[in-house]
Amino acid sequence: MVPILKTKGTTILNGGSMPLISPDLLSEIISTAADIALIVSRAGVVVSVLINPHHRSFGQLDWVGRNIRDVLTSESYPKFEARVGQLLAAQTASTLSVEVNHADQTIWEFPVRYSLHHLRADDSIMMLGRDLRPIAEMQQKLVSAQMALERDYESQREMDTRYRVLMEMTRDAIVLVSMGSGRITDLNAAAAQMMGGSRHDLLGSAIAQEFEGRRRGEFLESMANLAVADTAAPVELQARRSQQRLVVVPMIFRAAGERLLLCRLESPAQTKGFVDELGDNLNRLYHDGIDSIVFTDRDGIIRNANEAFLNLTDSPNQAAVRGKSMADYLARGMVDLKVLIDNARRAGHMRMYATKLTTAFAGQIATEISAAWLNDRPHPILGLVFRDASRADALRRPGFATSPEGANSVMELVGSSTLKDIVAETTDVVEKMCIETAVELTRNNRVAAAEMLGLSRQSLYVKLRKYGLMANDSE
Amino acid sequence: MQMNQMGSPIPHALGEADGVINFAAQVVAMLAARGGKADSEPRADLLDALIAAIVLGEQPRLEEVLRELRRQRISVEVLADVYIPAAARKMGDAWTSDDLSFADVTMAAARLQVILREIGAAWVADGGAIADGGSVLMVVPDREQHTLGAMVALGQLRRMGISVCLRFWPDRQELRNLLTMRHFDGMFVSIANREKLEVSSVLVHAVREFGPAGLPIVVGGAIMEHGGDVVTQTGADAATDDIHVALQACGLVYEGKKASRLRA
Repeated sequence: MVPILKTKGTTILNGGSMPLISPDLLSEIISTAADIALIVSRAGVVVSVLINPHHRSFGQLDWVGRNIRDVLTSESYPKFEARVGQLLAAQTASTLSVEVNHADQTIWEFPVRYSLHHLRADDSIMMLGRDLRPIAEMQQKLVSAQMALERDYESQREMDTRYRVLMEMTRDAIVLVSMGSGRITDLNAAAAQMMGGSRHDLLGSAIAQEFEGRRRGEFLESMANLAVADTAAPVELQARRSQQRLVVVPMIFRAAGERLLLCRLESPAQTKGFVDELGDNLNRLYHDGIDSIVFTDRDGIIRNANEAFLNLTDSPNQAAVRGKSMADYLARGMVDLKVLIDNARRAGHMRMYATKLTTAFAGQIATEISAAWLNDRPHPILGLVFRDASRADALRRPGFATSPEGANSVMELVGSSTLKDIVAETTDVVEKMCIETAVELTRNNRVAAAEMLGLSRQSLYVKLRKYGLMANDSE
Repeated sequence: MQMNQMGSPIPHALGEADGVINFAAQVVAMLAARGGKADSEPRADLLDALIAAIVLGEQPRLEEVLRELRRQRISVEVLADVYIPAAARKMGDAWTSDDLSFADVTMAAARLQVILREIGAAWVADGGAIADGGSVLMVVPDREQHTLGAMVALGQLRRMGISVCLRFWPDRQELRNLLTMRHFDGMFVSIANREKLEVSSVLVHAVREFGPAGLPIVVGGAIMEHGGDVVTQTGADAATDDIHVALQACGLVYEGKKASRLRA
């Protein structure tokens, strides 16, 4: 049954202090000490398979005479080979262990942790294995549980998408309020617009604080009534932020033990029907568009700024920007503002003016500004459209294509120091680049360019001459 | 084309000698970078810290590592695309060298997948206002337990604006329903090793039988590291571990931060 052990058993154990064990007994010890024991010849042929008689069955393993490679999975064989290599290379008698998966005709797999022992007598390898199937079963359960979780998660995502689209697209203004806290748990863009804030600002705010007027008390009372009655009549209230009069239609429902209030906001009928389609579209573009839009008076004092602008500049709300000078948000301050106003006044508009916006937290964002002078009224208005250029810059600047962060940091550098500092660190090439840029930005206005660069006019002329940029004069 | 439209006066002014611009750009970039951060290769110290925390499975320690990654300005995208796959690979290697048991590796991979799912929650390619960037059915076939690769690709695809339907171990009926009721530009099959080639081949042939005619099928995943002719063995249209190549096989192209269809 176990030819190797029968013939060589005595030589295996004759060196140490262990008592001489008869080959039959040794074979029994090995087979009961391990769940599975293999003897593999140096050539990789399975010489013997011993299965623990007390252990549950591995089935019929007729592996004797087969190459070990054929009974291991493809990823297990290389590591087995590597471990055996280590074992044979090591001069000490230290043991090594290896975790492998057996595959029997690819029908079923089972993992075993073997300790490897080099039998020097005939240069074969004895493998004493611990059955890892109980652990593998746990692993299988874990994997199945994880799969179930991922499946649930994916179907939840699909539902989320539907909910989100419904909230985004519906023209009804919807606000969800937690009855427990009285705070807004969700609202759609239509509702945010009616209430006069951004969705982001309104989320989590106390619903009672968002309304005023003499019937506010009634609303709170009806909310309290809702907690017991489940029905309430619509209440007309004034939104604090937008100062719009709104009809609030409340309805209560339960979700996972939480009592939620669904409020539909409606404009009182008479305020509707005044806006035409273009006006409506422009209004939506202003509120929902990704480009920032700002209207200022003739001196650059902000009158309106849309949500995108607030986001771009990290401003908390409309009130924080209204009445401030646009120069406060431009990296070059009054220099930028003057260029914008002067050009827009002269030509009616100015396109693609590249500068940076200063955010509320002193960050800087590269931007391109289009300006339009709306002069058809007693008090002209400057309309400004901002485009976040930090993304686009990565694409168009040669040599930076690999990393948008790289391009951003470069712009940070140009904006954060005066030209002199940069020149001190870089070469004439960089200096030339900056001057060219300034000249372009100011539409060849040497005075503004000099101011922008922090140079005297004379110094600018010297440098323009030095880099052969005077030829641009004709432009 | 787009680049010209977006072009400001800046590149126009510099448009004289590419060599000069490149040189200047390099100098400025070097000055600006200072710290110098490469995104395609994980930093060994951070990767090891992530693996250690993941294997240990202690939430506070893991959170500390994630905070450290944020401090080092490693974006969640880089965490998902670079660090998590690298950690998974390294843990796989640790199994091969018997430094980690398969139970450790399985648990750790599950934890990585949880992180991936949490950060991927914000990557949304579906919705009313989002332009159609194509759609892909991502399938992890029967008995394939390596799901992390599919999850990484899923995040990348969603970030590209591609609508992805992910299914684990779908049966024939489920696949048939999906392929009948929904439209996909292609099907991706993610497998990790050679043992799953057969089940993939069965899957591919079944889909060819009842799926829409000409549906491109691409096999990918860790299988690509094992070599061999995966296309022939599975009957797929293509086999690749490059997401762009896979998209191309489905007639999709990713350019300028958004995917779109190539054909009409």
